[in-house]
Amino acid sequence: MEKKSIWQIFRNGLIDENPTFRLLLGMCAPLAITTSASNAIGMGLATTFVLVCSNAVISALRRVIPKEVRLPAFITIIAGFVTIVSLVMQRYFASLYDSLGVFLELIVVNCIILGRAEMFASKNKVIPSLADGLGMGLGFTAALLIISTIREILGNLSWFGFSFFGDDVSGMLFFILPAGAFFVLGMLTALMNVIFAKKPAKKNDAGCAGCPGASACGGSCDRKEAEAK
Amino acid sequence: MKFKYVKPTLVLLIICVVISAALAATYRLTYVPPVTDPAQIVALMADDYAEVLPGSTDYVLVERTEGYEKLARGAVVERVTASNGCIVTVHSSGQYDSDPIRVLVGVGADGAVTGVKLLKISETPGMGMKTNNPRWLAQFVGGTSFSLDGRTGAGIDGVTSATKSSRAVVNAVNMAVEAAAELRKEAN
Repeated sequence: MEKKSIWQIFRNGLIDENPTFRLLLGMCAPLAITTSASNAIGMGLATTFVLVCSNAVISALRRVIPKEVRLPAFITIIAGFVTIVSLVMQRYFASLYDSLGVFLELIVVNCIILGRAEMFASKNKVIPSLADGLGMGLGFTAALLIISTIREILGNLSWFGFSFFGDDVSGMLFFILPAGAFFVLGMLTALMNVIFAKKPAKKNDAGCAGCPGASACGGSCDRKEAEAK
Repeated sequence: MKFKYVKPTLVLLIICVVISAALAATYRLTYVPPVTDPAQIVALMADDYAEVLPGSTDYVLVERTEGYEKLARGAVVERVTASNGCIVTVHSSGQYDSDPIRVLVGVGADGAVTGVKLLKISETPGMGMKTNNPRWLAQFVGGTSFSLDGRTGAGIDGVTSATKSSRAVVNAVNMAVEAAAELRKEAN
């Protein structure tokens, strides 16, 4: 794999491998908390903070953590940062904490974070890992903001809690309901696929060369096959 | 060969200890001791009290459930008496059992509701959240018993597509009126 610049790594998370629209990772938050744009921003920034911090720490410790206990070590570090975020948010942003509810603590099991720790931070230096965490986190935030903007404007006729027509006019309730979340997410994913579609891999490209996810996982299948031989 | 188990165990242990220390420090820094002094509670809430029971003074905290923020649902959590009536706080579950709506109800000396305010509500935006509308809550003023279907007491127009949240608020106000009647009995 050729070496990527910091900017490329950052852009990669933001657009090319956007965790929500391209990798389809961590689908819980984009469906559950995108009923209002302010929730989406809060959730996105909390996730970004955890992602950047855990990527940096895991990358710094990548030679210290033995292979046998790497997943327990990663999840302990991630859970630590998530708890710190939720304690701070409870103290200083109580209303946001209340409206995010259980989904804030659920950042621990957001597979974007463990995914980036395993795929990227544990194999790269600190600075690229920081860029990757920031890019992925902001990509996630942007995705949440786009979904919630569509849902809040169409479903509640408001944006960031500011109502357009007062309380007497109702929006299309469908977009506030869970079905609306799936609909908006599906449409946006399709749109992203149309805009950024790459040529499909040729069938005779066996192994990681023909796999669209190879750049994300760093060719782990080929490596495992080589190890097995 | 037993030696190979030592390093992973030790590394994981150290990581856990460091993270725990960081968490303990953060908890210390963000911890706010709960207000327990009745006079202080009443002073903090005075603006809200005045909103639901206009023209009242000298609030006295009669009772407050310990740790009510997380625990009580479907229950009266705080009772306050004032010069011209009393103010009752009720937790009532709407759409989410774990997140009850906190309803502040002012009841005048004659037993009629003088005002309703939702202190904390995290229902679904665009649906249950619409119960937190001053014009909807004004329906309760002047009545003593309420229901959504109008069979018992005054009929309340529920918020469309938010039946559970509407019902939660109606139940809360009914409970508050009953609690207020008990408070008046105790006072006499």
